[in-house]
Amino acid sequence: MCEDKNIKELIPAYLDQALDIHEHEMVRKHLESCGDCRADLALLHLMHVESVPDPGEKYWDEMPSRVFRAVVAQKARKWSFELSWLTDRLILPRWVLAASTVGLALVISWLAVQTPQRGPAVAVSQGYEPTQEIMVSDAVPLSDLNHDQLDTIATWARSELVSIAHEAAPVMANTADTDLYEEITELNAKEAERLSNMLDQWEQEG
Amino acid sequence: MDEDLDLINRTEAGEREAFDDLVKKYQKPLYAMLYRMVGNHEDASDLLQKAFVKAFTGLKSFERRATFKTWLYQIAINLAKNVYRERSRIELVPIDDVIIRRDPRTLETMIVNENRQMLRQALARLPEKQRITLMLRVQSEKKFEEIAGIMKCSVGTAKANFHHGVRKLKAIILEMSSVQQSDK
Repeated sequence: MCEDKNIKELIPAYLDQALDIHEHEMVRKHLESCGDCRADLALLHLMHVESVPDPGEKYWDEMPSRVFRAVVAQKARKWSFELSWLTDRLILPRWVLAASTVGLALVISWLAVQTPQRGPAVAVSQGYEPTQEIMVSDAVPLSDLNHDQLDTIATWARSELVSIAHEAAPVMANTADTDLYEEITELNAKEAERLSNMLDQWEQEG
Repeated sequence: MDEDLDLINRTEAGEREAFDDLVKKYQKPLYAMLYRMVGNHEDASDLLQKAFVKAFTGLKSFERRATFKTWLYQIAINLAKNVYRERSRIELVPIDDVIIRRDPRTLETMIVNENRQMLRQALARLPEKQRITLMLRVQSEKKFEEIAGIMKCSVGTAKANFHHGVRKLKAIILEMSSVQQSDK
């Protein structure tokens, strides 16, 4: 058996006729006297000429399109997998969704029915600086107030009611029913008259 | 710029023509190698398509340290190995202890006269690395540097695999031929 590795390495290139003149001649001369290397060459030549059947020009022409479709399909499958992986982790159980919806509805309903808290019976109008006696959270009976305080209250009441009337006016104007506006203005007049009567009565009583 | 790199960049940019050009450039030599590895058109065609699909869907992972050709061949060979392993029913007979006693001239004659079927059977019995190295060197006409890149080994290892493969191939052919003659 030939152990000349240099020659053996060159045999494939010799078969390909890819050696320079010097190397080609060296291998050729070696082969004349080395049956083992000739056997190698014969074996490699046999492998080299092993024919591969040609599937035809149509096959080759269609291959790029076939590959392209397969690539698009592969990428679509990948996106579908990633999306399903994501949605599987975002989608909550139905009972959770139902409970959340009910809870949200309850919160909204609670907020809707909540009425704004009114201030204390003794309110403060603009420009009036409350004294310690007036700023109380509990209602104060009108009979405990003096004339100045009552005047102040009357003035405040008128201004508050007027402002409410002004705010309600656009709404009232746009509705067919104007009773509420009339009622407010009427209330204003009524309340002013009532207060006035009360003041007169107290005056008479001294 | 390397032609393949230019085609890859244009393919990544969405240019269909560059994609087609890359496929057309490598489809025939790659098919030939795969056919010789698996022995039939159906498997070779299937592997060819799978190799291209895997290469193009994984273009972003192509580090461009090796050539695209080397990378593509690596993918194809790995796919072919899986098919080959699944289909192979031939046990690899250790033949390191087979001593070639015959006259080398007889061996040469025998090899020349042997049909290709016996050659394919003998190749199938080679260890995988030696078989692939032999095929890449002889049938794909690749240099040892290219083979080393595809097989992810050193040039020396590629050469050693080649030499050992040739030696074992001859021994297998002798053994098979001896068996045939004894059956007659």
